[in-house]
Amino acid sequence: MKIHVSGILRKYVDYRKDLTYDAPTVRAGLEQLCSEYPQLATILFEGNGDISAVHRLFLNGNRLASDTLDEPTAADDTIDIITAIAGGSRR
Amino acid sequence: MNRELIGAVAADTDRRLHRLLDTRVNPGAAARDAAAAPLQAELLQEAARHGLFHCALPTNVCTGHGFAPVRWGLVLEHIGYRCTDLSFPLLVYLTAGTIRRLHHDQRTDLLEPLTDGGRLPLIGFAYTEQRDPFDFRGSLSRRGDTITVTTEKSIVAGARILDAFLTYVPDAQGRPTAVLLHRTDPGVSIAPLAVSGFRSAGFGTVRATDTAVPCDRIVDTDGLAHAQRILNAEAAFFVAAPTGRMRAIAEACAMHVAATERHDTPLADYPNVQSLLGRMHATVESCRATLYQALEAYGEDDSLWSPLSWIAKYTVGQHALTVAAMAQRLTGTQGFLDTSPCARHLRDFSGLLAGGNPQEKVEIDLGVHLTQTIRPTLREPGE
Repeated sequence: MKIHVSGILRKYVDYRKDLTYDAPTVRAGLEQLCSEYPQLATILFEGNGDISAVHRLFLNGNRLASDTLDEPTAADDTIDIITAIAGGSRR
Repeated sequence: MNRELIGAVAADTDRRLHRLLDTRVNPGAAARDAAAAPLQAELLQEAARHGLFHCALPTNVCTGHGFAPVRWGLVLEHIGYRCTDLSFPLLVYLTAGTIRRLHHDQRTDLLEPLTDGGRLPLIGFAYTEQRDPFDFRGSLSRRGDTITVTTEKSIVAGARILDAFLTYVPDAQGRPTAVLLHRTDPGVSIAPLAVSGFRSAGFGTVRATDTAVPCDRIVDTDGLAHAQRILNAEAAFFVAAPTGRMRAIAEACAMHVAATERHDTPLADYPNVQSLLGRMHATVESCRATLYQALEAYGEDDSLWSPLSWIAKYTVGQHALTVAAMAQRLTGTQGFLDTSPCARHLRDFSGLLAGGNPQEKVEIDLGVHLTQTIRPTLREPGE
C-alpha cells in the first residue's frame, strides 16, 4: 500500500510524499511506517493504541473509522493521513 | 438568521451591560491601549454579575442557564459592536470557552477552587510555544497523587489578568497532556509581553518551573485533540466580536462622511465616497452572514474539523483589516489623529490573522478537507 502523509506530519517522514509498504492491513502499514520513522508513533497513536483524534485517515478516498484499521487491504490501496493542528516553529 | 432574534439579543445585552460598557470599559479604551494596561479582572466579574454568561455556560455552571451557541455568538457580536475595547470580548470569549470545555470534559470540579464567593472562574488558554505542537518543550512527571510540571507558553492572552490556564505539556512519552494550572501555583510566573494589538488583554508569557500540583489537574491525556477542539470548533466565537466592531466602524464612517464637507459639498454626496461605503457595508454584511452560518451549524460537525467555523474565522480575519483600512481612507487626517480609534482597530484586527489558527494554516486545512470530501465522488462510473 501507499501511505500519503501531508501537512505538519511531512517533516517527520523526511518530507517524502508517498511511502510504500507491503502490509496486509491499514494498522500493519501504519506500524511499518512508524517502524521506519519512530517519532511518528507517539504522534499518530495514543497510549492505548488508538489513532489520535487529531488525525483523519482515508482509504482510497473514503474516511476510515478507527475500528476498521484491521480490515484487509490490497497492494494498490492508498492511505491518506491528514491532520489539522495549529502551531509552528522558528527555524 | 432570524432578525427578531438578533434584535432581541442586542436589546438584552444592552440591558445587562450598557452601564458597564459606557462607564467602565469604553471610556478607558484609548488610554489602556496607549499604556498597554490590562483590563481589570473585576470588569469581567461585574459582567458576570449582570448575567453576561447566562447563555454561554451550561445550567448550574457559574450563573449559566444553558449553552445556546447562536445566542452566545450574537451576544459576543453585539458586545463587539458596543465595546470600543476589543480586548474585553476577547477575554469574555476565552473564559466562557474554557469553562465550557471543562464542563464538556466533566471536570467542573476543577472550577470549584476558583469560584470562591460566587466568583466567575477566569480561565485562559495557554498553548503557543512558537514551535510545532509535536515538539512542545517541558515535562510532566507523576509521583503518587502529584504531578510535576515544567513548561513555558510564550504568547498567552489574558496571562496578566486570568486566574488559571488550560495548558499543554508533554508527558514522559512526549504526548501533550492538557493540565489546568493556577497562577498562584508554586513555580508559576507570568511575564508581560508587548504586542501590537489587543493591548489591554494582558498578554504575557506563562512559565511553570517544577510546579507540583494534584494529579487530578490533568484534564485530558490527549492534549492535542483537546486543544484543537477549542481552536477549531470555537473559531466562530473568536471572530464574533470583531464582526460587531466592523459594523460599528462602518456606521461611524457613514456618520463621519454625512457630517463632513469638502468644497461645500457633504462627503457623503461624492460618488467615490458612496462607493467605498458601499463596499464596506457589503463586506461587513458578508462577514455577518458567514458568521451566522457557522453559529447555526455549531455542533453539527466533528469538533476537530469544523469547516464552517474555520471559514467564519478566515473570512472575518481577511476582511476586518480591509474594513479598518477603508475607515482610515474615509476619515482622512481625522482618522490619522491619535484621538481616532483607526490605528487601534488596524492593530487589533491584525491579531486575527495569526490568532486562533493562522490564516494560511486555515486555507490549507480547508483545501485538504475539500479534497478529501470530494474525492469519493470522483470515481469512474461503475467502480
